[in-house]
Amino acid sequence: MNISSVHGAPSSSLPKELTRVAQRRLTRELAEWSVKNPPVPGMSVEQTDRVDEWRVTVTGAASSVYENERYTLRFVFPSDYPMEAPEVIFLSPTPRHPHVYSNGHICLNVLYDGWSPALTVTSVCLSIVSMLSSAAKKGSPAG
Amino acid sequence: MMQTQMLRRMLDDFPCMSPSDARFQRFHGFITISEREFRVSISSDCTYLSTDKSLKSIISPCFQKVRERLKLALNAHEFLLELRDIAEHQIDATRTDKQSVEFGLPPAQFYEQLLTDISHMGWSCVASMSETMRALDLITRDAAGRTHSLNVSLPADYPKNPPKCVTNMPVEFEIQWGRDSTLISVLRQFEKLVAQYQDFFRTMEDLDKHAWVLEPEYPTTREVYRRVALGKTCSMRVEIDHRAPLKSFPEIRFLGSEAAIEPFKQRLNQNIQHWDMTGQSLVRQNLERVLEITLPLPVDKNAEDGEDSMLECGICYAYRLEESTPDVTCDLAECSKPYHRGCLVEWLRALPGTRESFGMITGNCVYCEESISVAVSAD
Repeated sequence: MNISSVHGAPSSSLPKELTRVAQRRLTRELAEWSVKNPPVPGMSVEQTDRVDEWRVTVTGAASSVYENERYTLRFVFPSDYPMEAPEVIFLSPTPRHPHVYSNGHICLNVLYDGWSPALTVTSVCLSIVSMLSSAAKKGSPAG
Repeated sequence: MMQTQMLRRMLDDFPCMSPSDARFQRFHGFITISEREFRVSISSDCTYLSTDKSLKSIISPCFQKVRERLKLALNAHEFLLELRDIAEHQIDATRTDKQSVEFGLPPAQFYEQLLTDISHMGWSCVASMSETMRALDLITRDAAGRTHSLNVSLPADYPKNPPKCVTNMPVEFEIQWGRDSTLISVLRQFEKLVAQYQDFFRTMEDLDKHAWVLEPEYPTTREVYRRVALGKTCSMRVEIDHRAPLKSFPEIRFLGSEAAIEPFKQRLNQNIQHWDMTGQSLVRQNLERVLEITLPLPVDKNAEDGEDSMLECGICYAYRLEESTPDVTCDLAECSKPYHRGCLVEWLRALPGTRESFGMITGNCVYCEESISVAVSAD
């Protein structure tokens, strides 16, 4: 099976209705990325024609086992963002990490119960990079 | 930074316009004019504009004007505001004209009288008029040089019946209409009313100039209140008695966290006897004396965005949401995060640890986790 094509496909072909709040907040966040470009060194957001789906490239932190490795994250925003967390996965090739499944799913509490509207795309990316950095060696999830 | 500002304003005024690329070169979407929606695309530098057929036909009589505005506009947001005004005006004018065509044009006496009136008043008083001349915009200048406009719709049997007037005054403009009354007497009455409100205009202008006005966003001569910033996290709403702005005490309400507004409340209570009601001091001067502060001026519009993010809702990142502005603030002084009531209620309700009783919701602040309570409805 060609995994990359599965990952590359948009999450759903039906464009969902973003609430007005979600739309504005995403546009604001996107503006920050394009104005400061990028808000964090080593991160960049790809041009995308959908406001509810972003691709962000992150770089492994210096002196971590992922140093200088570049990975792409796919953010899919729920219609009532930021009341609910975005769905974030690694696109193939995914990093080998105890909290990243081979299908790209990330085990990180801010993406689930720990989500708060105080978080942003930038802070989620930072959390993910720091999660990668905390691993002493590369490895796959247990089980 | 300019771009972010423009974008924010764009979304405030035209929520259905969205950027079509990440660089915000172009916007597509719909704008609402007189309760109808029109499709528009525009480039952010105003070099490109396209509209749907119906909007095109509405603005076609004033294409030249639109083109000029397009050339002069600073950005897409400003231009769309202008476009909306122009189209609104056109729609209003054709509406009045259509009515007259349906019932036939007014009789010759109507025009005879109207032209006599206008030549007496001087054509310089007429800012614009509709095709059938039944809707007019008259302007007058007051003693301080401010322009005030008087929007007049004439009945077909004018001067037998009085025209309908719309003004930008804080009070209803009620016209006295007698047998010999004409448009001239209406204009004179309007001028008299304007003259009575000089103190009010002066008071408001002074606030607009020497304070950081948060609301209304675009103050006109009609609004009798201002919400002005006191600091980064608190503000006050001042409602002025437009009949006696200098000889009465305005209604003052402080907005912000308890910790931030308490010192202001105390000073107001202590120094209230120093409020000068003799007519010598403007409201802003009285406020500064009684509160023992100099009201802060707006932060530089081009300054780093972080400056005004202190006023934006911590959830939706906007200052203005529909009609509301952030009206709930975290009570922890170091946090003082502002929220729209609606945003905070929606977030807290989704959390398991939130308690709701007697119309109050209690949960944790999104930022500092301190307990925060909010009334479910605004009052």
